Amino acid sequence: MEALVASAIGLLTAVGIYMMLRLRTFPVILGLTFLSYGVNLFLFTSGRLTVNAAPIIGRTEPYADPLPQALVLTAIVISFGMTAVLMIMAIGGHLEAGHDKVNMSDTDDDTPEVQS
Amino acid sequence: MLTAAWLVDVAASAVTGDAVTVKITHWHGLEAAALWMSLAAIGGGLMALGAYPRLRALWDATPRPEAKAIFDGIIEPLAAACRRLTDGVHNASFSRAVTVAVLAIAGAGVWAFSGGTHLAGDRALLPVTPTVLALWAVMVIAALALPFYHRDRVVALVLTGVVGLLIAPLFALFSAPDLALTQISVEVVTILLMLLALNFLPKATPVESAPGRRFGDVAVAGIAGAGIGWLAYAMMTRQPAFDPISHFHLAQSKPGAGGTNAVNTIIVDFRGYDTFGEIIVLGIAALVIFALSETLLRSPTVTRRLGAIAPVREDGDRHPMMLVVATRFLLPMAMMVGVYIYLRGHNLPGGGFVAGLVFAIAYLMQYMASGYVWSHARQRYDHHALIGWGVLVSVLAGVGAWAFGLPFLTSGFEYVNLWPLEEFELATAAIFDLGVFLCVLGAVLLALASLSRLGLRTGEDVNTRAFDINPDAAQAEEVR
Repeated sequence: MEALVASAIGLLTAVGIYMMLRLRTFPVILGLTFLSYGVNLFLFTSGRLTVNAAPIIGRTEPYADPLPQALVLTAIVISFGMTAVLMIMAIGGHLEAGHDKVNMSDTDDDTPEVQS
Repeated sequence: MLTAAWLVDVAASAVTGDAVTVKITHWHGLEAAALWMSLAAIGGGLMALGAYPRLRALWDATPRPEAKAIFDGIIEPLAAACRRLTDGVHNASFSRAVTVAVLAIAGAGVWAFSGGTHLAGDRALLPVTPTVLALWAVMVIAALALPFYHRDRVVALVLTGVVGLLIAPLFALFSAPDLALTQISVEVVTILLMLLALNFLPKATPVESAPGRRFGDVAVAGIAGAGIGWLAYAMMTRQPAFDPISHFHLAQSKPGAGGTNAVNTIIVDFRGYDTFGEIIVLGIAALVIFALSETLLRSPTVTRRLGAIAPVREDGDRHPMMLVVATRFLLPMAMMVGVYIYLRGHNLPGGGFVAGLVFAIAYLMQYMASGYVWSHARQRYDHHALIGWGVLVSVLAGVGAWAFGLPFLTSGFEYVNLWPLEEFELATAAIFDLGVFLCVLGAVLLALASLSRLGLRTGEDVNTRAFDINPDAAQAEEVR
């Protein structure tokens, strides 16, 4: 089971990084979303994998480590906030500049390209 | 001779506490060395004064180091080197910065793992179950499909949603029900947000990078993925190097914080300060989104471009009546579920975060079904105010502890017997969790409403009715 989860984390991270290296804002944001899936899962597994051990006191012992779970819970919510801020920035960039490219070319210094 | 000896006597006696008598003499006779030294100094000085013009000319003629020249000589090459480095590194290419960062982090990871000592990977592994294998397989297929099909952005969004939703059951299977609830509700909100954002962005990504470059990107991504996957496997197959501190949280969850859900007690009791900061950050993020959308709406270029976005009508019914009616019925039920999740949070999976998200989704369904203007006109509470009240309520929950002489955010609880109810618990953590709930609800709704406000400037006409077809008119038509 550990190998499955580890390979899933690796794959999500790899797809996330690949998408972050694309040249338009939307794929980059999707890439960041994938990367945060991978990172959240990775942080979660630092508590080691356990089955049928939800950290609810009074249930069957042993309990899963609750601390990584609490940290990842807040991380999931913050990832949403970050994605939302990036989205409005991407929209703003696209509407202001007329294109949604991530990289600025060496020739244009901040001068917005005319939309084709 | 009149001297100040008497004054010195008084002062010295006062300081030392003993009677002190000093003797001050001004003339020590011709034998005193001090006299000859003084005369020599005066003579030497007079001679130097006489020779001043010549000495000055000599000094001026002597070459000596010039501080300004030294300073300029050091700073200018340094500044030029920095400029060259900055121009070389900062070529406004985000992709290159990401590549360098990923490779540097991967390299540092390999160096740390190969250089340090670690335990043997002898932790007992869990057997593979068919459920997890199936989830894994679908997730792998969806994730691998993304790089191939991402150019159609709606497809890319669907694949992202598939992966995100599959993570929720993984959390649930690996004993993290709270995370499963949070992941599934955040995923719904995130996909809705991105779907909304796609209205203002191109629907397709053009092919731009050369195959060679894509191959290089695959290599960089592969290194990062292999590295983190290997690290995750190495971590999961080893016992923790140190005893986890969460033994304390598990042991104290019930007696110390008064709740049986150890994850929730960490969030609202043990690490309440973290959560307090986090909801403020989330609120600020939502306000940033609002502020940016306001700025965009003031720009003439932006409003002109928004106006040029032609409405895409793929079907005739923009606000289908069935959807409107169904979501209308679902709203109170979803809110009830939210209240239930909020109330049980301290003891069972749930809590303010999930409850806030469930409420937000319930409202977002109204926005989806009946449109922003129609829903917004029926909204009584301002989104900004929800965020503000959320932070204020959690501040009050924290400051309340001061009344009992306890530090900020100390939580307390009491068991109450109220006939005919069973014994139940009142915890101050519930007030704090209410603040979390309000802040999350306000932040999610403000973020999506800000995007919707941009939509009002597009060429699409705005509906004033809940749904496009008017059943009353249709009925009247029939009767006639």
